[in-house]
Parts: sequence; C-alpha cells; structure tokens
Amino acid sequence: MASEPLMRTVELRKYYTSTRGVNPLSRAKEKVVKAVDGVSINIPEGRTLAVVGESGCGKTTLARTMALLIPPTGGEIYFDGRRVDGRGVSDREVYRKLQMVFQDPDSSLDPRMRVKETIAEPLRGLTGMNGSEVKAAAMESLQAVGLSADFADRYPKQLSGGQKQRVAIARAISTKPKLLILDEPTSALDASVQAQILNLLVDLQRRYSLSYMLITHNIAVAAYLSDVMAVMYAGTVVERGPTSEILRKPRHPYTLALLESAPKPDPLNRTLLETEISGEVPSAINPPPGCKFNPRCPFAESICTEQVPPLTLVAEGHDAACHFLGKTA
Amino acid sequence: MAVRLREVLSLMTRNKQSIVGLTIVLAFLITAILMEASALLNVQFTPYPANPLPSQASPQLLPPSLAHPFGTDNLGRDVLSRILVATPYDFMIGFAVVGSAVFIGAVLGGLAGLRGGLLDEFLMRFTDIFFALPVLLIAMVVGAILGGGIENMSLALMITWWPSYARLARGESLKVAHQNYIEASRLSGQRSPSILFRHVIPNISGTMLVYATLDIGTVILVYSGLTFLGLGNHPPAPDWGQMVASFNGYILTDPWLALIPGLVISFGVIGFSLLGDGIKDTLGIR
Amino acid sequence: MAATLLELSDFSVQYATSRGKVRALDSVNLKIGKEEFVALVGESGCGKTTLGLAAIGLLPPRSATIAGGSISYKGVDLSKLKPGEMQNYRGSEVAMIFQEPLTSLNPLRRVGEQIAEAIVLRIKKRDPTSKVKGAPRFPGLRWKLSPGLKSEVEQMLTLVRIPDPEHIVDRYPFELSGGMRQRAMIAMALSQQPELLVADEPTTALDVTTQAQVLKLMKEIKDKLGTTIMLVTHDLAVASQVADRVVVMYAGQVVEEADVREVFSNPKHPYTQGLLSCIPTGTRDGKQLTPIKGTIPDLTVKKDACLFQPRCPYAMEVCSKKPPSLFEVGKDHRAACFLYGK
Repeated sequence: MASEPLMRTVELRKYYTSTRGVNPLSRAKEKVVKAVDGVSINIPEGRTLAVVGESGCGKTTLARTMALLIPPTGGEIYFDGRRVDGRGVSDREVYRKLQMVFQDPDSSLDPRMRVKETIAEPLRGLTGMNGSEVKAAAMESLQAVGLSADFADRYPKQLSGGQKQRVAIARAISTKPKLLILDEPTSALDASVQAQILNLLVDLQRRYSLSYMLITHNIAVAAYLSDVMAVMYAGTVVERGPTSEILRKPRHPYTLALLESAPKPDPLNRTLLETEISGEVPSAINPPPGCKFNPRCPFAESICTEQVPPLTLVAEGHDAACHFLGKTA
Repeated sequence: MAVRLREVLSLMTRNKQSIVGLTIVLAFLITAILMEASALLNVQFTPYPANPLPSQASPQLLPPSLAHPFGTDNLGRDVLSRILVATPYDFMIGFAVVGSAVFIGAVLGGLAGLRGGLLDEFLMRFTDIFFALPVLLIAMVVGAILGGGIENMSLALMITWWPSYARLARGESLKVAHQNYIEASRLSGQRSPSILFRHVIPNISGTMLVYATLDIGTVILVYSGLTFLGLGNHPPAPDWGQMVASFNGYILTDPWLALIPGLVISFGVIGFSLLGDGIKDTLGIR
Repeated sequence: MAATLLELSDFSVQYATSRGKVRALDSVNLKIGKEEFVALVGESGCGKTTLGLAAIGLLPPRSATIAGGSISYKGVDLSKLKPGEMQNYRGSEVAMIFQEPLTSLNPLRRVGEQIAEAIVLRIKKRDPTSKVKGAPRFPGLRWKLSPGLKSEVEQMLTLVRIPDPEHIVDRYPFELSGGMRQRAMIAMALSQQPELLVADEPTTALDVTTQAQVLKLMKEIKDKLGTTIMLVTHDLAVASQVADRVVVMYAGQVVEEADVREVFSNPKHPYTQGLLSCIPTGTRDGKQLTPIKGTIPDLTVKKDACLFQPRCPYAMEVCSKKPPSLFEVGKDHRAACFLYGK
C-alpha cells in the first residue's frame, strides 16, 4: 500500500514491573512482565487490521496502549500523520478521531445513564457542539447502528446484549472518528447476534470510511472482517500480512497451529483433531529464552533457544519471525 | 432528577419492613418541618407552648392524661409539646451529620478507588488518621473550646463520622473503576474529577444510601448521649437526650418524664433501621 | 444404532423464577447410544445445560421441577432413584465436567488427593468391604497416598496427557494452567470409570490451541475407553470437529438431530440453516452473513405452536396452530418442522 497508514507503531513496548512492596530492605527481585515487547504494526486507511492471538499474547495491552489509555514503556505511536505517544499530545484531539469498542457489553454502558446520554458523552467531551447539535448527532448515531429513536430513552438493563453492543458502537462513532479499535467486539454474543454485529461493522466501515483495528482470538471473525492480519504470541508479532495470504499460506509454526486448532464448521475437514500442538502459552514472568514459541515448536533447534528470530519477508507484504521458514514454505 | 427520586421512593417501599420504617421516618420528618415552620412563622403548632411563663404553666408533674398526653414536667411544661419542639434538632442532626459524611466520604473514597496508586494510599492514610479520632473525645474537646450546643456538636460529629464512608466508597469505587464505561469515559475526554461525579458516585450511591439510612439512627443515639453528658443544647431549649438526663431522678416517682423521651429516641432509631434494612434487602446488598 | 444408554421421553423441566415458571425443557425426546459422541448445540437459553444437569441428577432441587416425561439411564428412571442410589449412579455411571475448572476443583486440596478421592470412591462402590484408606477426616491434613493409589493417580494424569504427573500430584489447582486444570477435572471424572461423560462447555473458557488439545483428548477417551460423551456447546464449529451426532436445540426443544456430516451438508430445520449461515467462514469476499431475524422467545409463556415460527422464513399457517413433532427426514435424521410432515 503506497499511501501512509492511518496508524502505526514502531517497536512499541509495555513492560510491567511487579513492585517489591513498601519495604526498602526487601530482597525480592523486581519481576518484569513484558506484555508488549517490540510490536510494529500498520493500520491502513479505510481497512481492517486484525490482531490475533490467545490469552497472554499482549493484544489487549497493545490495544489499550495504542488507545493511549496506558502509557507505553518504549517505542513510537503515530496516528494520522503525527506522533502521539509521549507528553505534549492532547488526548482529546486524538480521541476525536480514535475510539474504542470493548468486549463486554454489560460493562460498556453506565447502568445509570440513558442510551442517549451514553452516546452523547464523547460529543460533549470532545467537540464544541451545543446542546441541540449534540442531540441531533447522537440520534444520527443511534439510527446508524440500526436502533430506532425510541431506544434513546432506555436504560441498559432494558437492552439485550446485542443492543448494548450497538449502543457502544453508536457512542464510538458519534464523533465520526477515523479509527475504531474493537476489542473482541462479538466474543460475548450468541452466534446470530454476532452475525448482526459483524454485518453492522462492515456496513459502517463502508459508509463512513472507517479503519478498524480488530483484537480477537477468533480466527473466523478475523478472517471475515480483516484485510490485513498480525499474529501475536507472548508479546511479539510472529507473522504479519494480508489476511487472505496468511490463511492460504501461513508461514510461522504458531500461525499454522492456530489455524489448525480453530474449529471450522466442516465435519469432513477435521483439522482440529490433526493438530499436533502441545503445551500452553508461556508464563509472562518467566518466558522461554530466544524464540518464545520454541518449547512448543515442532521445528525448534538450538538456535531457537538462543536468538529471537526477526521478522523476515516471505512474500509481498507478508513476513514471519522464524529461523526455519523453509520448513513451512 | 425526578426519575432518581421515583427510583429511590420505589426502593424504599418495596417490602413491609421498609414501609413501616418509612412511615416512622416520615412522621418525624413532617413533625420537624412543622416545628421549624412554627418557629419561623412565630405560630404555635403544639398544644401548649414549649417554654411557658410561670403564669401559663399547668400544674407540675401531672401524669399522662387527655389534656396532657405525655404529662407535665417539674416546671409544669407539657412534655408532648417539648418533645415535638425538640424534633427538628434531634432529628435533623442525623441528616446533617450523615449527609456530610456521605458527601466527604464519597468524594475522597471514590477518588481513591478511581485513581489508585499514590493518591489512593495518601487518601486512605488520611482517612485512617480521622478514623482513629474517638467521637466522644472530640466532642468533649469541641465542647470545651467552642462550648456545647447543637451546632458545635454537629461539627464535632461531622469531623469524626466520615471515615467509614470513605472506606465504603473506596471499596465500591474499586469495583466500578474497572468497568469498561469508565474507560469509555476517558476516551470521551473526561478527566478523573468529572468521571468521579458523573459515573462513579451515581453507581456507588446505592450501597452508600443503605449504609447511611442505617447510620442516621446511630447519630441520633450518639447525640442523645452527648446531650446526656451535658454537651448538647442547654435548658430551657427542649432536647430529648437532655430530658432523659435531667429527669433521671424522677424515674421512681414520675417515670414518664424520662421514659417517654427515651422511647421517642428509640422509635426514631428503629424507624431508620427498618428503612435501611428494607432497602438493603431490596437491593440485595450484603 | 448401538444400545441406548440414556433415553429422554417427553421430558420437560421447569424452573421457578421471579418472573414465573420458565419452561427450560419442553417434551424432549432423545436417545443417546453407547460409545456415541453426541453434541448438544444451541444458543443461550435453549436448555442444553439443563439437559446435561438432568442426565447427572444435578438439577437444582429448589427451583427445578420435572414437569413431565422421564429420563432413564439403562432403563432406570432417574427421577425415581433414592438419594443413596443416586450417589451410586453419579460418578460411576455418569460423570460431568464443567466450564470453569476452578469451581469444580477444590482450591484447598492438592490435585492428586482429589483424584485419589474419586478412585477410592470407585473402589468402595465396587467392593463396600474394601479396606482401602480414604482421605483423612480433617480436610486440612495432608493425605499421604499409598504407593498403589499414587500410581493409579499418576496413571489417570498420564491418560489425560498431563506432563510430569509425578509432580502434578502434589500441586494445588491454582498452580496449574487452565488447560491443565480442565484435564485434571477430566481425570477426576474418569476415575470412577463412568460409561457416560457429560461435558458442559468444557472448552469455552480456554484458548484456541488448548481447546484443540482438550477436545482431541475427549475424542481419544471415547475411542480408547469406549466412554459415551455428551458435549454441551454453543459452538457449532466445535461440534463439527469432534462429534458423531449433533442435536440442535432451540427454546427448550430438540429441533434437529442427525449424523454430524448430515447436519452440516444437509441441514433441514430452518433454525439449523440459519445458524449455519451466520457462522463466518473464511474471508468475506463481498458476502454477507445472514443472521436470524428476531429474538429468542419468552420461555414463561406456553405456546401451542412452533416456537421458532416468528423467526422462520418458511413459516406456514399450521406452524402457529400446533407444535411440530420430530419428523424423519432422512436416515437417522429428524427435524421438528412442518415442512417435512404434518
């Protein structure tokens, strides 16, 4: 893609140090959890990047760091042409164009606020609109997500899970942002409701030229919504590229295992039963040395425990971090 | 705002306990308002004046009768009227102290839970300092420096009453602080103070309301104790606790003089307890 | 078909709630045969968990009532069992594993001890006079397992593919990862050598790769030990990957059941068809998902009609007049829809 990505990170890091407590004489060593350890990704304008991974891979921390809710430990974040990490950046300005939708619809809405007040909150906080302008924009947003005007006066407890999620989306798009970060937006929903929300997201992307950063562990949803994908494991990106490419020809052994394990509704193609993956995601406090996937990798050799493999180009716009890319070619 | 009130009222009337409690509380409240109005308008709503001149007084130490339902005291004053006139003070002090405690506690505790970190530590240690102040001692110190009386005692109680509310608010606020809508609020450009008042406090107010209702009765009791010790309103101003104190000596001869004000105090406490318990059951709060 | 192990006949269960009586299961007819791997699939509120609980006799006693029909295991009506008999039944004939392993494993007891407890129960049930030592009377005391018992525990752990069993025996549940805890729970469940294993969303809380491992394990258990497995899940894709037979449930009723390949290649009931077309598969390529319009019906209201009718694209007049029974639509394939019968 020749044009500048809407948002990108360069070697973004977020480390958590567990404190030794108040006792200055305590000899407990400070432990460092490297939740995000050098992540560089691009979100193209008007398109969707899916960040895929299992628990502990750092995708949620990555999303919140990019949303400026958590200060990064290192690296750079660029949004809409400007650098936005570090001080001196007004988060209000960023939030006018960057918003987020969360996983749990029940905790996404203040139970004491009506739908219209919830949707209006970003409008009130980020724009200079007056009362009637805010009202009009909020109603527009409500209808854009497919809810009729009489939902405006309802409270969250009167809404179903899918409706709550729609309200959360309406709130996020009310200021007409350019980028939406979606953190597992459908994981808590039933299959049919999930389909409705996915359709809605596709529709909104087309209508408002939105870019999406989709965080998910569900490969099927990632495949459906995204144009480009980044696979994360234990804090780093192990494979990046166009979604169709990665699905067709995954190159990192973890991506392979992940795609095999993901259940597909096809009883004649039981890849799940054939997957050889063993072990669990590594401990964040004591990760394995070298390539963090090495204990579970069928191709691992001694170099894998010594050196972290860099992202190497394997095809146009597609790279993977593995010492033995020949094995998956 | 109107919806809030309706919500609160519906909360309070959902079971028999709280209806009884609410009735008692309302009875006291209406009496208090009437008495205040009577003082302001200089109109007498009570059957007899609370502080009659010797010429207006009835015979002394009359037992309860139709003319004087609660009897008369040693100065011939109608006990019922004196009890009624004391209502605004004794009753309202409960509201004043708890009200301020809730407010201070909610702000400090809510902020501590919301922000966490050093601010949380600092606020909680500050709270601990006030927690350590014994109510009685502070009341006596304030009484010694500023003198007795209801306003000074209110002050003394307000200083010592808020820490438990701060602790409660912090606990509730911690639960709320992790909710996604708080993060969404930050994404809407809101800063912590605004988030505290728009999101945190409304969502912790349920539990605090329950605690507060149960507590008002306690304040009334404590104030009665202070009055008993001589720190409250001085005679001839009527005051329930003071009445119990000064008529202690008459227990064997004219028991109604000390018993009835005592019962009125108990009644007030019971009323609030029932109301608070009722709300607690309705909201399902532990 | 193999011999029937579990049979539900017009089985109905109601829950008493503050909103009224909720009909969680409504005249369910189902047969589960020996050594089958059956998946009960449906969205939330369809009754699949209730059915699972009924099979193991764990319906909440104060709120759930059997409102009709029967559930029998090897011909014995479960609702007629006395508490002592139910104790025997549970564990040694039917065992259950749940979604959240942390709540079914006692966090205060070592993993090995909990599995040993199940093994001792099995021994005592088979031979009530057995002198094998059970857990110490005071739960806080450490149970020193006899060498024989310890090796049996390690065998169970190896069976469920837990690495390093000799050390895991002494670990507490919180020291294990989610996948390991789930395996430990499976080991506990299998210790009494049940014929039927009911698994209620066992992998929903697990990572994708861990889920694959646990599901593989369950299939292995069925193949190697001949255990019949009833898997309750909301995930049709999971069902397609491991089950032999799929039973689709909606609003407390069975709406379709068939061999797994049939269900996916030839779904007959409009609800099943709707469910399949809302699952995203692969990249979008301009296609749209077709969600099922409408919402789940209110289960407190009894309707003498097809419960799916308001959402059905093929609804006919008869659908609102009476409820459809399960009609035969193919070999071992049944669907409750008036498109296939009267």
